[in-house]
Amino acid sequence: MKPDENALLRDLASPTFKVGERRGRWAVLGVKFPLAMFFVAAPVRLGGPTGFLLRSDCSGYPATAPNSQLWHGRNNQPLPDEHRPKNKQGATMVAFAMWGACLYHPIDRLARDHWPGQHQDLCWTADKTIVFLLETVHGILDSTDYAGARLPAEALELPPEFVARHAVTAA
Amino acid sequence: MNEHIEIVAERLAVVFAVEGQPGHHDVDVGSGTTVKEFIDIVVSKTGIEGLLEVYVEDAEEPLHHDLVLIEHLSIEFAPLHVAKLGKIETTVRYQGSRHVEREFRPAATIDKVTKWAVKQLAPTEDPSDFQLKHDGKVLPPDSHLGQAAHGQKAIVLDLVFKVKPQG
Repeated sequence: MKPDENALLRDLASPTFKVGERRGRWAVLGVKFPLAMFFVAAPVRLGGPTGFLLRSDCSGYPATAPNSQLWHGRNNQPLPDEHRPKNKQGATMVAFAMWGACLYHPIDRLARDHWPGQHQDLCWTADKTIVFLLETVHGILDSTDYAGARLPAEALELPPEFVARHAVTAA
Repeated sequence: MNEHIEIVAERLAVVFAVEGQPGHHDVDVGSGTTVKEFIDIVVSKTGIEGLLEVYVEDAEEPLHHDLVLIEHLSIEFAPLHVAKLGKIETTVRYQGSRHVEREFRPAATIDKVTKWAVKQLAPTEDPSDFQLKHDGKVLPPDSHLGQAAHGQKAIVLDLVFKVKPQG
């Protein structure tokens, strides 16, 4: 096993990660390294989902920031814009906008250079763990800015490659 | 109780945080492990020193050392906190010119402190739109105040809106 995969699995098994799981903030659904599939819970909104799938590419972890996207499980593709979290004005929340194959947020490997010299405390650093990413995404959803989403149930289905690995990850 | 279906847990995994240290730990304890024995385990596992107390998360009083630990765990998931004696004098600053002060137990969650501070300093706002920073770093809402205070019994925090980077 390579060091980055070993480091990710170590952090997924840590008590700190499990605290977030036990509180219902997030869950790891499977790992097919370098990809990991998470469920991130969303606050209750009328007609809104219980949460979203987040697919993260963790190659180079933890020295390199993960690259993450909201995911449609059954289609096994990035979540279409119409299903993404909306703000109170009905627009897609900025962090989840269809800007690129990433979160539009400084924590993401692909997006961080979009805010040069800004938001240093939001950026990934090599001393961070996967908990920092999940706290960040959960914290974005857990605000009054999040108004809900029209997410079909199949979007929360787990893609087959992660189902096959689930038992290994959960052990 | 029907003794034929009674199940006795011999060991139980307990999650805890330690004053001054980031992250959480876990350890298996026995059904008869006392709070004092649990402290001894924590000392050997984490290296924390001094006269120590054990709290259930957000509890106002520590557990007496003679108590059997698992008989006093919360039904809801609530990590324990191990800390030196005493409360933490907490100052929360807001918008540069205002601040409030109060003592909290080290087992208080940052979420609890945030809600208190918002109620005092911005009562018309929703606490979910705020976060607390210490030395410029955002504190996770599920972490304990004692973890952020680096073993000290006083701390100054800043209440800020959650930053939403725009394009």
